[in-house]
Amino acid sequence: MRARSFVIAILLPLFLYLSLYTWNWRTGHLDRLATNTGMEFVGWVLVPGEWVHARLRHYWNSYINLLEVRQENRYLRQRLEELQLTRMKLERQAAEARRLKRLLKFSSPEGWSQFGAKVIAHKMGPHAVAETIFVDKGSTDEVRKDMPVLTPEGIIGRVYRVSNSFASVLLLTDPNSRIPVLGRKSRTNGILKGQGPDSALEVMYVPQNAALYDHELLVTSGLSDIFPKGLPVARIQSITHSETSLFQNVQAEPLVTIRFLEEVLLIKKPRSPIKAEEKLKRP
Amino acid sequence: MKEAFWWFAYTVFGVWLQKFFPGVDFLAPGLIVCLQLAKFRAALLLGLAWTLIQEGMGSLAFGGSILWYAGLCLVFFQTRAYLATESPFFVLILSVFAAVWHFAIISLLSSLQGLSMDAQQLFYESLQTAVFFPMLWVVIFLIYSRKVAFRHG
Repeated sequence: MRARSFVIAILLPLFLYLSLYTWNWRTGHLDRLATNTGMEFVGWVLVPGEWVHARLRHYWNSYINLLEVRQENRYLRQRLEELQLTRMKLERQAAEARRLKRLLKFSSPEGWSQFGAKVIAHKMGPHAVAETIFVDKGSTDEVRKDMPVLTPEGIIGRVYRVSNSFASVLLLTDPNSRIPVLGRKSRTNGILKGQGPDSALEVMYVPQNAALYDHELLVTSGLSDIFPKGLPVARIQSITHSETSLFQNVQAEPLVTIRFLEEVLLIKKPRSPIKAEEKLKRP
Repeated sequence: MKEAFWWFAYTVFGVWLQKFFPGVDFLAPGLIVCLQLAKFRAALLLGLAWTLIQEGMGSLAFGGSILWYAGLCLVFFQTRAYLATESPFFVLILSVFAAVWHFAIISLLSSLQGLSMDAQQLFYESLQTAVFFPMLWVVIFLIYSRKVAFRHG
């Protein structure tokens, strides 16, 4: 009797859970369900809040700071408020214009097309193991998994999960991120690996006798099928030679300060002509 | 209707808190409050909705939230036999369990899925879980039991 209760209470739920986990691992149905419902909900919760936050910050800067000038006469104060509001509005617009101008100046690799997205949140939730950011573009905007994400300064990561209107981006600083790179001057290949948000990046598998220079720019090598060749990713910080390893110990720093990112660019791969032909042939 | 609005507002509030404190589940204390007030249907519905939300914003394959909420429910029902559910000691035990359980689930699922993770950061997240869990529980238990659930009898 006790053995039967044990089976019902512990083993049966465990068996059901493992079956569900394995089934989802193979099919990804539940992942897609969670992404298309959970991530959508979170995105729609955060977007209005971000808007309210921006407005509040605007009013705070415009009005609350001006309370210190209470002593001034009414006419001057009103005039000052007007000028202050106009100046802040113009400053905000100028800053936005500068950022957008930089984004527009970026020319994507040949055949690749680009579009912008706003960052709405960073890594969040109890199951956020990876370093990620959330952007306000999803599958309806043709965002796909593994799409490269960058700024005019350099690569910041790739699309990790996509819902209808939002997407999460795996950052290059995450320990699970691997990007094939090569030195722009030396043309030495390596794999760039993240080591956490506040740590330098590591360039792996650089042979002891391979040439690599201090402060050399690392660009994507195009060896993976994800990133186009030649996009800047990081700059070499230090090179040390170990007596026990076959490879050099190379540290690099990202070109982009991810913490303060507001807008990013996503670049879309050109459709392969073979795949397009196959699609046309399909009944 | 009022309860539905309350839980929707709480969910929105929890999601916003999670934006500022990554790695901490601010929705779980709500589940415990539902169980304490014997609102099992609400607990089930909220548990399902929150599972989708947490999995949607997370970076692990689906399954962690089921273990997380199931573990909390299991310990709740097991501890209920020995302690009054509304006692602070009961909630402290749950908070400590939540911290340990969070560490265990993330470590287990990360290694199962071949993902690297920062153990020190996970430790701090678990510590934050242990600290925030009882604090949030006190706030929502008082508000919900006195202002929302009470009027419905």
